[in-house]
Amino acid sequence: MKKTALIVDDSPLIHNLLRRALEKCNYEVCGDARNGKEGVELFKKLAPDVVFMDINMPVMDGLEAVKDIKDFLGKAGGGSRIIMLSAVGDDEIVAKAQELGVKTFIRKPFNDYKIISALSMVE
Amino acid sequence: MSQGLQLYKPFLNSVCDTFAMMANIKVYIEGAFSSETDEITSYGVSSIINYTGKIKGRFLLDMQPSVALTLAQNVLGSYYNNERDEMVLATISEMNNVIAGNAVSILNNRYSLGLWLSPPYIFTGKDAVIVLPRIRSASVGCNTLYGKLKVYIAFERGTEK
Repeated sequence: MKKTALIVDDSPLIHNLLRRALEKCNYEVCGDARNGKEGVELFKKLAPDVVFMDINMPVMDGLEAVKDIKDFLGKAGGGSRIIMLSAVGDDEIVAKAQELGVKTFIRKPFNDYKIISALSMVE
Repeated sequence: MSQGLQLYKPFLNSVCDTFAMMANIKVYIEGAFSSETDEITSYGVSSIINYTGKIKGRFLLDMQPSVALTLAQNVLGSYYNNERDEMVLATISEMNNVIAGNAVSILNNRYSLGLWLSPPYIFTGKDAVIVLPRIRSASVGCNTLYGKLKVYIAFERGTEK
């Protein structure tokens, strides 16, 4: 059975690239969200195995969305299922993501190899 | 290394890394940075992004249409023959966002500049003249197997020693 992935990013280009990479890794993309708010809603509905989360997005940013997902999951925590993927890799932002329990952070630009490595860390 | 070059290099490195990693295009840098006038004559497709924080500036990526089309084709996996196609322009914009975001993060981590990006703008039109008044711009020419591109990096006057 294929594992499922939710992509949360405001760039259609990134959705396209991630989808291609994930399919090569035998993942099914179960949801596409364009901002953090949509991402949280789809996470609650779809319960994906892994989430790729951008940081800078309209409506709700990625860090806020991770916090909402973490709150939704309770003490079990959801950070370890989330892969932050962003062009913005300021140390301060990475530290904030880590505080929220995110263990995997990919800085754009990325290629398939980076995606495969990140997936191996959350599986 | 001069302060200017320290600020410019992350952008140039990011161009090479992003083109190679996301579009499988090798970028060959031709020569060193040189100063530009306020007017830039475009190769055909240009994307500009502003950044602001403790200093301000602009990053402009200008390329021949053949480069833009190949970039979109390699990234999206579809064939395009018009550089004004919405998907081609969206690809160039996002690539510019990734390039500038990566460079700005490096600068922020090194020098605590607190830079953040505005959304990119994109222009098309061969020989279109882009005017960047009141700003010092450095440029470097680059080549690929698919055509030429040029990178312009600017910081507001007065930020360099």
